[in-house]
Amino acid sequence: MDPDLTKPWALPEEFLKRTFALINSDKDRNSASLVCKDWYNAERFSRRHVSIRNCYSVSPEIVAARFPGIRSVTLKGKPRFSDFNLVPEDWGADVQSWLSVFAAAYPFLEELRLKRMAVSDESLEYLAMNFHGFKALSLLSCDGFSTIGLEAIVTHCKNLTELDLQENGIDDLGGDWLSYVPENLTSLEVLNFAALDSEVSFDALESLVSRCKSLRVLKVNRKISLDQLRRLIELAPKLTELGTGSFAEDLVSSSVTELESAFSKCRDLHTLSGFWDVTLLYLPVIFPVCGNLTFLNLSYATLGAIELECILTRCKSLRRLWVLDTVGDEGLEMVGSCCPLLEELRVFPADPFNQELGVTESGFLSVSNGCPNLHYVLYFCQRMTNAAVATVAQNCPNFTHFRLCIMSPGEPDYLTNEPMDEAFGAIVKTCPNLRRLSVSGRLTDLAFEYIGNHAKNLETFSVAFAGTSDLGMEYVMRGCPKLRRVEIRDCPFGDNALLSGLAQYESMRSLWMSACNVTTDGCKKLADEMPRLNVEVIKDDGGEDGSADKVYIYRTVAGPRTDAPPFVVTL
Amino acid sequence: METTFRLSGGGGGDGGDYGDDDELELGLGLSLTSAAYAPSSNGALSQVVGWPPVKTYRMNSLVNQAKFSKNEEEKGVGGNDGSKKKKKNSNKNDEKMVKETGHSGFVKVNMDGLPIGRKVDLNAHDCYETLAQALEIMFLKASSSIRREKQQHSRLLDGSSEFVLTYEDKEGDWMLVGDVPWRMFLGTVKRLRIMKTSDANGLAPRYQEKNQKPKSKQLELRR
Repeated sequence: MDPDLTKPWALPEEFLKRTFALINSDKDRNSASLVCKDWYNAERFSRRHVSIRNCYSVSPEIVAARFPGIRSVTLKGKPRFSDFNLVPEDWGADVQSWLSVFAAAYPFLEELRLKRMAVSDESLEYLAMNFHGFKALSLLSCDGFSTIGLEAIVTHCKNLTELDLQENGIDDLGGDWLSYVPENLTSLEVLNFAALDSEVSFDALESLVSRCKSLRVLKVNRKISLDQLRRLIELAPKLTELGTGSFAEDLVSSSVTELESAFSKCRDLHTLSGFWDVTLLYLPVIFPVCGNLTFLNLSYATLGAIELECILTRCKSLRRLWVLDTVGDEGLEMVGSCCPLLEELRVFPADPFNQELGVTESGFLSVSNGCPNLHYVLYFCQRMTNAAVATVAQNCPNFTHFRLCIMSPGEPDYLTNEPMDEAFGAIVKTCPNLRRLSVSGRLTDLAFEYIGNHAKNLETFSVAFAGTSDLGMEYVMRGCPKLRRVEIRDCPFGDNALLSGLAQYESMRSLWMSACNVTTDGCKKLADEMPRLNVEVIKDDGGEDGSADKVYIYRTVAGPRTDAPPFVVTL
Repeated sequence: METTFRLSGGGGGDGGDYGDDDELELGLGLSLTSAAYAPSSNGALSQVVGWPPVKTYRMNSLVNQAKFSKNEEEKGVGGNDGSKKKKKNSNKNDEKMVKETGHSGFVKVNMDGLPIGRKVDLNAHDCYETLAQALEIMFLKASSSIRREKQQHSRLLDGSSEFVLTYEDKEGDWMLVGDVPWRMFLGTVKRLRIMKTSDANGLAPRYQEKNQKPKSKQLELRR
């Protein structure tokens, strides 16, 4: 296409092509594509990666038509609340319909990253057989497949560089899937099978690690013993991320010193995880690498404060820490005093159904006192106070992600018995960069008023068992212009609240409302006003007629779902 | 737990989705839906689906952890304050351990379609009816159960639900719950499973033919 003489500012196509090839940020690409038709075309031909954050917002045909040169796809499916069993089985998000289109449109597809998708063994086999240059597969929180599907992947993907399986509902049929990796495969860089329960062939694993010289990430499962771990680390000292196996069985074929020595050779290691069944006996083996660690995931290790202190005094560079609440407030004091550079903290409950004290407001305060750079927190606790959260906000005004889960629904400030409104008010008033907020505890509409008035950068909002009236939701829907994803459960918000968000829904990714006061009439009204939204009601067996127990609303250019199961009704 | 919030308080007239009758029935002024959270003797959190919001994968992992801590303790590993503390934790977990001897106590319950298993204390029941009703509250929608308060028989036992309650006995056979005397059941049950009625057709109430055993095990795997 020659530059049109009537448009002196038109740039040569070749120039556009080369320039756009250098742009990696999807956000920049999206903006650039809106400038003019030439730029739109240059962008779409040069794009190699596409991220579809709601698989029903667009169809695979539309994607393939617009972007002919894709090599890497990220695809997310089910609403996040499916992680907590709120979405029925067989709801959808099946990857097969995407693979079928991609097989024709993107035969050179190299990477596929799926989150909350339904993936069958047949689909994995289909993937392995139809994409000959396929390199990287990442499955996060997916379900529907078994180790048989994994066999297919490792057998047929001759150029495999990445196999990353995280937190999936895998039907672990055991078997020897790892042994199916061909002898001549040496390209593996990332291998994560920590979430699998069954034993893999250690010989196959050892041989694989030994011949894949570019292996950087290795996360093994609980069936790998310390002895085996030592052998693996000795073969791969260039690892940057390691997930250990179980520390339960004692070392047999080597000594603690030898294991420690193996660790000490891993000079590039910056991320550690695993640690199942670890005790003080073997913790010291990781001391040599602690100084370089930036991310330490101890969230499967039932450690106490003393063990935690042992490690943390040596982890001066730590940026991200995940722990179980078994460390208690004392353990969190250690965090505050040992890790001044900490940016992210996640504290998970070891026994969510046991109301024994895990961590409290005191631990939260300790961390905030010692870690002013903290910007991401996920904190599960049994009790909290408004005063403590207000102080935390003062200490750490840089919060971008604030997820506080007081585990008893509707729990007030345990000292004053007041609602927790002021706590979240303090957060939104003090932290201008807040993008993600999860609230809990007893909350009146006032909390939501604070959020609507102050959280102007809020993108993701999760709320449960809170609010007093429709006003609550209205405050947020009207006050927060950058909302992308809103999830609400068990709140007294009805049709008026639902409809108050009319102006927002087309610029949002999705809204989930369950166990609220929304009716099918209200949903129908919304659906009629906004034809470019899918307003889906998930029918509940025992539910009353007229009430919409679970509602999932999202923008789409693909029209109503064609694969909806009978219990999903699009209005 | 005191609750003072009301449904769509000042929000407007159309808050009448849940009529007064329902409020009276529940007595606490909670909406039908939040009554999914119903305080029980042990403090209650276990009644609510998907709360607290911990990923199912992590929950399953924790169940396995607790089991392991118990074994750890038996091995006598460690000897300083740190591991003593951990032993203390596992002592508490012991009370909720999966009992594998078949004696009454906590047994694991799985339901087809749910990756998370739960535990139920058989000691807390003296007949099949209360056990089945407790399981209905735990696994099926709580709101449905509340409507069924007035019913005599649990749907899990009378065959009218799409699910049936089954158990694995000491011999490893899967049987339908309800046919042997309660005490005998307590002595032989290892774990429970809420199975889809369609999958349970191979199970006979009074006996399990040996050649059917592998089939039901396969059914489990193919879930």
